[in-house]
Amino acid sequence: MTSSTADTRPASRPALRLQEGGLLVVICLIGLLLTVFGGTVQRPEFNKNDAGETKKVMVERNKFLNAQNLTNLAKDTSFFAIMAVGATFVIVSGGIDLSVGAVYALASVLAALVLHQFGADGPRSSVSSALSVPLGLAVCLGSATLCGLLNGGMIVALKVHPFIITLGTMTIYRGIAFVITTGQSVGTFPAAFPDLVKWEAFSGLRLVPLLVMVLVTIVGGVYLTRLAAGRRIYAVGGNELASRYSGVRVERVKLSVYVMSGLTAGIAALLAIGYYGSASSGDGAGYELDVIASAVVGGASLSGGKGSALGALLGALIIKMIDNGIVILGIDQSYSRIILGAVVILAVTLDQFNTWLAKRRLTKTV
Amino acid sequence: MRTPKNRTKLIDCRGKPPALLENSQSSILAGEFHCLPTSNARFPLTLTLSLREREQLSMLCDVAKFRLSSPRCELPKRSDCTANLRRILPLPLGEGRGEGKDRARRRHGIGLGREASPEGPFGFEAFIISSLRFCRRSLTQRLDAMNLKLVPTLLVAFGILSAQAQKKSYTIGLVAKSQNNPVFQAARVGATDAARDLGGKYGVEIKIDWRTPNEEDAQKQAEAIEQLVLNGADGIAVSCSDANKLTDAINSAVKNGVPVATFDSDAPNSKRFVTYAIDDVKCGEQVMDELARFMGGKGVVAVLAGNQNAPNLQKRVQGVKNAAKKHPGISIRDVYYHKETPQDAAAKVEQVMQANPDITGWAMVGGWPLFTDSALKWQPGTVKCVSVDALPPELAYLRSGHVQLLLAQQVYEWGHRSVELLINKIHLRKDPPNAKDVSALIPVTRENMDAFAKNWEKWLPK
Repeated sequence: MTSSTADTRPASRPALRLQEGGLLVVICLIGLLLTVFGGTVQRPEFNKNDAGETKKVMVERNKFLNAQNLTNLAKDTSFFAIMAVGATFVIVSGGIDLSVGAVYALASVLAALVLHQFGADGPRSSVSSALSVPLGLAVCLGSATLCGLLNGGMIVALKVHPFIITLGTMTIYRGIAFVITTGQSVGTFPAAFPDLVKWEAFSGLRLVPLLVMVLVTIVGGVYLTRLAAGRRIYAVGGNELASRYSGVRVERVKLSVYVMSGLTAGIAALLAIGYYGSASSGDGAGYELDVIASAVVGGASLSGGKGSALGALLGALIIKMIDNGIVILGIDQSYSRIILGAVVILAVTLDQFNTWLAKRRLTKTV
Repeated sequence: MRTPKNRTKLIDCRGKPPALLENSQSSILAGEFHCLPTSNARFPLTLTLSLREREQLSMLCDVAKFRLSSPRCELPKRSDCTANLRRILPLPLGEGRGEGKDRARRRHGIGLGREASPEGPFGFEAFIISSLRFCRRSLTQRLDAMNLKLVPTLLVAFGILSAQAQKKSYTIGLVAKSQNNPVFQAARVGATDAARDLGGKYGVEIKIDWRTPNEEDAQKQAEAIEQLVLNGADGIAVSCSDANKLTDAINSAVKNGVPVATFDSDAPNSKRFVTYAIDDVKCGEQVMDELARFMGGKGVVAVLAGNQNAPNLQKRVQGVKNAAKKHPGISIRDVYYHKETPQDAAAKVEQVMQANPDITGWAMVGGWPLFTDSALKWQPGTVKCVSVDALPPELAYLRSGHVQLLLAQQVYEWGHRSVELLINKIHLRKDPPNAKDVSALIPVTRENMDAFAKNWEKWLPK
């Protein structure tokens, strides 16, 4: 009895898939290069002496490997990584969402308009932040989710390719953002909101974007790999017809992935307006391509059925590390696009090579 | 006992992969070394050396031999190490240059003493030793003679090198709105020229770190400012795409001891110490006043205004509207916004002219459509046009008569003046007299356009 149980137990799954292991190696390698060749920098640190006076001390730190830079890198990555997790849902299902940048802008602008009402310059500045901040959060996340729902609804109902629908909604959402703001930047929020996002943990490190990014990745990863709903997304992306014949409600799955994509765009927008303190209709322009690139570098296949939340995070991290490295190594900014484009192509080519190797290995084993 | 472990240790010393006993050929010597220059560890002598390695070892060995053979050095005190190194030197037959000159497998045949020398006590070795001694004596005497002159020379050279090494260095971060806009490329050239000029003037090294987003993106500008601060920039000059979004990043930089100057587009609520820009409201007023003059004080005017998000453009539009009130014969048809690319702007002008053929004047608060070749389709002189900016492609419209006046911003000075203000602040500890350093507009007409065009040869990147 015991032995039969042992025999039927599935083979233990490796902690990280090969693809993600490869991405981790690349990240470590880039980190090592930047640590070694980045050099050092004199940074001011403010220490309090016994008398309580703040004293400025210059401390030498490695340009890359210091807490401030790494936190900053994580913050810069978080906006893209969170959206990339949502984009991975869509890409795994075999679709594409070009409207994430516009959803990000619209959600930012709507939340900013609500929060501005309760800010120091707003007409309702006397209202408690216990009410205004949750209201802003609800508007931001709610509007973004609604945008995702509209995307998914139109794709399912009209049976039009997601590329076309999201291309259309991309300009519609940005247009709405432009009309309601008349192109103006909206700022001045209740202090509690930016204070929440910019909460400082140890010696001035702002960890909230990082924590939210990790949380979203974990939830996304668990949903995709551990829940039946997540497995259905892979099934639909892998073979839509087979999934339909197997009883999977394909339309519902498709709708859910666009809702997820909208929701993650809303979370990223929330962090961004809290961190930077304002929103305008021009926000997030071109981010859709960065987000899709992050998911693809992270191993998501544009033909569907393949990808992971952790891969999306690591893909976004690689792209941002390269961005960071260009500054640290003092490379001319003019070359940044060339380098980033090359990295995307290289990553996808390596991914395909990896798949080919795996197939070959499998064929040999058989 | 030879174990794989201690064999690896040996290989690490020599930087060569292990040669297995069974695979090794004639240059493998049986036996063990008892000494290495750096270690007394015992290890098996099973390596196969390349020709270059043999040559290097040979050199080492020869130097040691000459030193040890000196009369001041007694033979019994010699290191065993040299002797052991010497043992692996001769190449056996078929092993390359110098092959077969000695017996590779001879264990005790080669030594350092006179008795071991194949030439005997009066052989080649003794001749080399005496030659080296002669050289050393001669060199020592010369150095003694030069000593008095050499010391001060070395001290001066050391002083110069130290001064160079201690030369102060400043890094100025330059964050413009977008890489694609030539006005910001001119600002970059201005900043680089200022770095060179001021560096020479004050004896410091100034580096310009250009960190401008590819397209206009305030969030990326804020990230660039944060990265520049972390990267140790001494000062930052920025043209703000969105003042609200950059205010926090600028304040954070200032808090970290990095002064920030703004140019072109300001962040008035931030802690930047100075802004260098035109007065946008006055700029708009000047555009309208000049246009009204060309139109004879009457007609219908369209305003081309670019990106509605840009606060500086909004102020210029406000200036245009303010000035229009002074001219009762002038009416403004509308303010037209568009994506800030030459093609979009040209398309917008064409579209507006098609829909409103009664328009007799264009007030352009930025010269976007004039970057294309045929943006203005009307007959020269039938519609009057005044535009801000006077870049080389825009000058062609002055020549053709489509545009009556260009009001040039001092785009080169955006970079040059910003760096100058920052260096004054950082190096000379001098604050500007006013937090607003207003830059004047240069009127460019058909008469002075050739003289003005020559500036661009200097301003644009080579």
